[in-house]
Amino acid sequence: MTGRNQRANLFLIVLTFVLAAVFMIPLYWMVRSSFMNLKELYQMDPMLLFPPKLRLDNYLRVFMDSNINLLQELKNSLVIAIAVVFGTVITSSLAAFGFARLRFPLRNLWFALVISSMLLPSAVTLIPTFLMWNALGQIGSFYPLIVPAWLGGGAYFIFLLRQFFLTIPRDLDEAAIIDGANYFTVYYRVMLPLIKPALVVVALFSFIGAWNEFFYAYIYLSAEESYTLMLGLQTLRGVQLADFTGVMAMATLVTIPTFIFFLIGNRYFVEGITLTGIKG
Amino acid sequence: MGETALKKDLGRNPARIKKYKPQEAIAGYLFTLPAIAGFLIFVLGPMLYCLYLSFTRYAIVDAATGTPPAWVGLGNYIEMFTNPISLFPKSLGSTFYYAFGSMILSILFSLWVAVLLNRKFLGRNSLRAAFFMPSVMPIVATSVVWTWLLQPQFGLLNYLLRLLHLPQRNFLGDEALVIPALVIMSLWFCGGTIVVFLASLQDVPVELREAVAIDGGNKWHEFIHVTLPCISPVIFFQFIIGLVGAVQIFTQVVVMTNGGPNNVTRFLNFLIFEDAFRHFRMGYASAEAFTAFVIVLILTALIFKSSNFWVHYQGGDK
Repeated sequence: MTGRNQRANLFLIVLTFVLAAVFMIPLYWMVRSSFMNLKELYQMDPMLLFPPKLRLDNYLRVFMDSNINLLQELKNSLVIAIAVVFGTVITSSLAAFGFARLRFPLRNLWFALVISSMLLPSAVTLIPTFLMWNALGQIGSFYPLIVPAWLGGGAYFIFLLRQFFLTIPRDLDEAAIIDGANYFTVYYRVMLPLIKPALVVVALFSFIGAWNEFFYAYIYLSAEESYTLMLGLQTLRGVQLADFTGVMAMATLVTIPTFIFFLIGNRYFVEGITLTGIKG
Repeated sequence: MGETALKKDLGRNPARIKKYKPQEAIAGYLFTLPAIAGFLIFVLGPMLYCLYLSFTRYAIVDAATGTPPAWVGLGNYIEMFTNPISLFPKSLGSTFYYAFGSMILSILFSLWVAVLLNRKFLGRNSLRAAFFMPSVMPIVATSVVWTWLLQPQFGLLNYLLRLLHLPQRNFLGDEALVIPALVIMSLWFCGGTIVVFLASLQDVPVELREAVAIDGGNKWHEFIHVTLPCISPVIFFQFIIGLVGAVQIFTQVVVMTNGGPNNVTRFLNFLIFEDAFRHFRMGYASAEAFTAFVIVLILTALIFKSSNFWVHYQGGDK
């Protein structure tokens, strides 16, 4: 009986590993193809599972090709992502503190409204928002991609940080208030240091989100000098349909930062995701 | 301040007195001001303006020349549903086909993987990371790679089909296969859901699971009668959030299919985008967007209502 159980258990563990390996295939295929030349890429019978030689030509070409302007795109992506991260961390933590700790009229209504925007399909706000930025003469600038982050930074993060604030005993901030601290001091000096892991989660998530963002960049940024890496990758795919190895090299390059951030924050991610997922 | 203290003394139940400390109330609004302003400027305002625009004819050139939107009443809505060349009904159908297909499959798959991961073995955390990683990858990059995996002559998938002596397929060029292919691809975004399910599985009370064993139940009974009810609120939450996300599929269309073949993947966001920014019909696109919004709203409301029957809240604690 136990023998059978043990065998079943072993089988399930092996199955999990196999499944995870299957899950890694697209990722592996991207990296593998990025080190090949076209002849190797198109070779069938048998298909090459490993690059015969680690060719760096594709990477060099993506870097050197003046049509792609990788460095400019990298700069644009970084500028947007960094501005988004700061805006999100600052304003979502302010709002989360307000909603978690301060009593004010209509608080629950506002909180419900802000959170409900998580369930809002973006298409319904797309056209008026575009017209607003158009009226302000900002089509093609980075502001349409950055300003929303400075105004709350997304319901999800407010929700996440509020959950964290709620886990902190109230005695702490009440004691500080009695000692004469004002609300901002409580937020800045007492509460923020206590939720540092959560702030790290928000910073990493919002960086990855902004870095990967495609929809709004595609709509607002039409001049090539303001392209982000994602737009650059899409353009490279569209223009040079035959250069699939170059596309794979660039896809690999733009993925690397998200994985670095993912590995830094892996532990925190799990913690953060768990908290919002469960208490939802 | 003194007044509040007095009221507290007079009223036996201080919780019933809705009296706010003025300082705290002002601070509360100051702290939440960016978020509230963001909600008004980027959510509520645009939503209402979208409703208004949906009754008008308006092009982006009108904005440049200062021409106001021309009122057309229900014209856009009538055209959307009755014009034989309108793509809206088809788009609605394929969007929900994709969204429900993707979400149902994702939930089942995530649950399966989470149950598999929910046992102690060496390398478990690395495996969890392996399942999570593809979901942080840029979706443009994912789409580019999948285009290549699904490629008709040189793609890995067709290579495997050929090894198995099965006919090769042009997945992205076949009307019947393209949405199923995108649904399968969407499993690669399951990482977050898997992690959430895994965490909630670890919260299932051990006593309940032991009770099943004592009553002579097997693992399957335990899963159906204890685990599933316990984590049903989490499944519900993930389903709703995931559905709203899936309805908005856009990047895959731009990178992989451009709306084809035969407009099958002209999903709502892409249709609205094209009508607004390529055909310059902002009023008409607003009508499409608002209709889509109302349908999503009704659907979420229905799912919320249905949740009374299948979502089990422990001890009334949400």
